[in-house]
Amino acid sequence: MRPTLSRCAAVLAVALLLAFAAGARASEYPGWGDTGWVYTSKWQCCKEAIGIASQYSEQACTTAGGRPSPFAGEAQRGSCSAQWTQDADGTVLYRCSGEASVWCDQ
Amino acid sequence: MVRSVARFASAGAAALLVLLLPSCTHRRPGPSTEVSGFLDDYTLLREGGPDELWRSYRNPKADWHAYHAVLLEPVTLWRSGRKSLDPVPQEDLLRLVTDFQTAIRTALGEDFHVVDQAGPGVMRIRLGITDARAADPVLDVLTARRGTGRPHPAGDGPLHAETRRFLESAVIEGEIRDAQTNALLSEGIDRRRPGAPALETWADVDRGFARWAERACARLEARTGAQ
Repeated sequence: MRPTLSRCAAVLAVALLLAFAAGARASEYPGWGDTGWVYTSKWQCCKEAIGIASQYSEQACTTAGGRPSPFAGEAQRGSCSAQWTQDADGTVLYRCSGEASVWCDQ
Repeated sequence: MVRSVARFASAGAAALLVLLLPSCTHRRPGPSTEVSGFLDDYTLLREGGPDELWRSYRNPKADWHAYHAVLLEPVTLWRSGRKSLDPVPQEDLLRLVTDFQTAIRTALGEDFHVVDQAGPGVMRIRLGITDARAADPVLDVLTARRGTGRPHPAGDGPLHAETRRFLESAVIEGEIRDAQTNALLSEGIDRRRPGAPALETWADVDRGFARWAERACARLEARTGAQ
């Protein structure tokens, strides 16, 4: 028996709904962080910048009505851009900008 | 005439002083652009011997016998470029970090207490797998404390092509500091030996991590006198 037009439309509607729901279930809200000039290592500076960015990303997700879903393994993932300068004594200072996007379940 | 010659001479001396002054002030060099920047000071590193790290530094003033415990920072992956780690599957990135961490913990745990807090007699160890140059403006960074808790789909089997590519160009960088005073005790970079067999499978990677960790920890034990 061939499916009727209304049954085809219903199947299509359910498929579209599922596809939309799957697309909307998890999204990403990028967050940015800036450490300012700090007397620390580049590693520590980048770690802090990505940490700040992750916090902002989680806040954006919560504000949008979602629930932040951190990376598995307590992982922290993001990008870091570091600038450096030296003070009068020649000691190196870093300033890091981080970007991170945690998964957001909605 | 004599006064004008003297004035000319003193003006010349002052100009010379102004020219020479910047080169006389002691100014430390800034970070090199050809290294990743994961370590704080690459100028200390020297070429290692046949069974040593590729390049390393050991603080001659360190009292190694004072240390009996280690605090292991989570292993970090660094790669130059925005989203440059994206081609490597996320579960592979987590596995690289956790397998390396496990190999280090296993090797250290035989002779040292592994602790979570800084204190007297504690060394802080920080390790990274890096494929980066400080000259590149953006880094992609991943740090993880543990794995996903699920078995990796590849098991001991073949590596993803992008994971292999990352590992082939990466080096291991690390440093050991006094966890209380932050004094640098040792640091180094190690790379795959030229001509070493290609990494094809996860079994190869895990064997490599275990061998590296055992060698590094054996050197540390020899220094500290840990039994």
